[in-house]
This record gives sequence, C-alpha cells and structure tokens, in this order.
Amino acid sequence: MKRAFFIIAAILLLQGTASAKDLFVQSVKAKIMSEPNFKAQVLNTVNRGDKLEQVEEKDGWIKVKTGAASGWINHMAVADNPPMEKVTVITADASDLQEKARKRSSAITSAAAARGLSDAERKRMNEIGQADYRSMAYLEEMSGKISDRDVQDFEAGK
Amino acid sequence: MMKKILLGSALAFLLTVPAAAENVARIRTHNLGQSINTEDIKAEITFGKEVGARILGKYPLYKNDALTRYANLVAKTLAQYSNRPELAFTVGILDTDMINGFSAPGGYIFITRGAIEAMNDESELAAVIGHEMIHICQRHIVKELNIHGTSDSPVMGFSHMIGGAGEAVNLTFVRAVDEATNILFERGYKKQDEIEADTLGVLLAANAGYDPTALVRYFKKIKSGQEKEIASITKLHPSFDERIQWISQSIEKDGLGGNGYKIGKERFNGVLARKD
Repeated sequence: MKRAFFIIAAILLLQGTASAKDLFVQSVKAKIMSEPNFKAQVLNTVNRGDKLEQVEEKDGWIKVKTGAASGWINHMAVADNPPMEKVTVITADASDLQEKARKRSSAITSAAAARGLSDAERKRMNEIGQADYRSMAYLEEMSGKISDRDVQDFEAGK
Repeated sequence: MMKKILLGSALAFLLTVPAAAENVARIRTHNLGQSINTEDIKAEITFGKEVGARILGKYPLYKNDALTRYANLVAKTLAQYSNRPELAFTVGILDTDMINGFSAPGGYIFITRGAIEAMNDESELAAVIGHEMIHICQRHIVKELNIHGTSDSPVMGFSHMIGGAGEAVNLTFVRAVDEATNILFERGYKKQDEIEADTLGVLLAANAGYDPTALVRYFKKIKSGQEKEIASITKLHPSFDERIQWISQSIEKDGLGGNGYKIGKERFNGVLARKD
C-alpha cells in the first residue's frame, strides 16, 4: 500500500515539475539584464536557440535562469518552442498538388496549404483588378535575392 | 478504506490530466507564436499572399528596385531580432501619395511612397516597418479572424479552409481574405493591437540598433501634414497624440533611449536620391 502512495506522490511531483517552463531564444541575440529594463546592467548575451528557464514574468519582461545566474530578458526575444527554420511556400500548379495528395495522404495538408485560391480564381481576381499576383511575385523575388550575409553587411553599415 | 483513497487519488489524477492538457492547449491557442508547426506557418503565408495581392490590387506597386531592396534589407535586419525567425518578410512600396503602411499575415509588409517621402532617415523607416512587423509577429489578423492551422478552431479551421475541397470551403477562404482586407482598409485593428504594434515595433527597431524616438519624431512631423495625405492613417489608427504618449511611456518603462543608436540619414537619402 505504501508503494502505491509513493507512486501517486511521484506522479504528482512529476506533474509539478512539468509546469516549470523552458523558453527558447528566437532573436538572433538578446541581452540578459540585471533589472527589467535596458538601462540596467547587461549580465549576459544569449543567442538564437539558447534554452532558458523562466523564473517569473513582470510587465513584458521575463526573469530567466542561465546556468547559475539569473536575469531579465524582454519577452519579445523568446518563445516556448525552439526557433523554426525559414518556411517557404512554393506555388505548384493544381494538377501537381492533386497528384501528390493522391500518392501520399499526409501530403494533403501541405499541398492544400500551398494552394489557397485556384489558378482560375486568381486569374479572375487579376483581370478585375482586385488582386495583383504578378507584383507579389516581383516582391518575393526581390526579397528572395537577399542573403543572410547581405543582411549582416547591411546591419554593419557596409 | 485505503483502496478507496487510492482509487480516489488515481481518479483525481486522471481527471486533472485532460484538464491540464486542455489548459495548455488553450494557452497555446491564445498565446499564439508558441507551439506552431510548419503547416500552420505555410497556411499563414498562403493566406498572407492572397491578402497581399489584394493590397496590390487596391494600390499599384511602386516598382523601384533600389528602394525595394533597401526597404527589404531594413525589414530583414529587424526580423533578426523578432520572435518569428521562420518568416522571410517581404516589403513592397505602394505607389500613392497617401501616408500609411499595411501588413498581411505570413510576413508581407507594404509602405506607401507618400509615407517614405515624409520620412527623414532610416530609423523612421525602421520604426514604421517595425510597427507593421509586430502586427504580423503577434498575428493580430490571424487572431481576430480566429484562423488556425493544424489545430481545430471553433469558428474556422485553417486546415479545413485551405486544405479541403469544394466550393463551400473555397468560399470560406475568400470570405476570410475579404475580412482581412476589410480590417486593413476599413475597420482598422483593435486599439490594443495598435498599442502593441507601436510599442513593440519601437522595441524591435531599438534592439536592431535604431533610434527608439524615431516613430515619435515621424508622427510629430506627419500629424501637421496635408489632410488628404494622412486621412487614411488617421481613419484607421488612434490619434497621433495618443500614440506618441504610449510610445513615450513604453520607452521610459523599458529603459530605451540614450546615445549610440543609428539614425541612418545618409544611407536613406542616398537611396531616395536613386529612386528616380
């Protein structure tokens, strides 16, 4: 009987520890401050993907543990999931999508996610001047030409 | 007796598990930005492309490679410090004298030529882009329309909306795009969303090294501008005075300000001089 109590106690304890929250840095880098504002002392700098343990939250700032030390990070820099890789949506024609969906049921959502409106509907919207997909394509091409290195150089003022 | 206690404890535990799971799900649903998977992001981008195309259907694109590349570089610099590293972010310039900016889910930002011509430097451009970027990062439209990806939604499941087939499903998608454009052009965002976009946008720009007072400088300049040019921005946003007040309070609270921030006047003027 005692053993059963221990098991239940252990389960309850595990439930308790599960509520301790890990956070992951999303920003390319972020400062850990001694107080919840940017005028305070910078204790440390963390990088994208670093895992932090949330201690408390106050007015847009989160107190976190990083190793033995603890300090404040702005909430905008973190999320409770690890940072994701860049996601792109490749526009495929309808027949290609249907073929993929037929071959692999798990692809249905992916295929559909890339579809949105049908080509015929897009054409109609274009013709009546309610949408401009060609300009969207131009912008995506311009944006896609910019590499991470270009951004780093731009930020450095080069 | 002991068995009853044990049974009771086990039952209580079993009951708390689904309740806790439900709470987590609710938190994840409302605390958007968390626990999102690739399919959700694809759905958001697909939706945003349609909204973006509508914006470009209303206002023609100002096709200027140098200015477009420059605005995209500023946006991508800011994006490095955002909570949405999965989005590529794309900026377009709209060919209108009107002063305003728009954003569509999935990373599409539009700034009017009139807005850029009223700016003094790169930090003001960064502040305006930062404002639009926060609408995207915080998923203001997605939240208002209750759009979700793989998770079920009480109103409309995004996976059903764009993953299903048939006219009814397609109509739902078109209606959601209509509703999003209605928010952008007619209704405006909720006041709380505008406060968030202003204050977090300034924070984002400051984290990227830009002068946190830039947006206040810009508002002070354009609020006394031509009525016709600022009609759209004043129709869709709270008053400039209110916005200046909450931005200033936020700068003070977060300890932003001081020296060492970028203004970028020379580079901004250099690109603008190339636009013609």
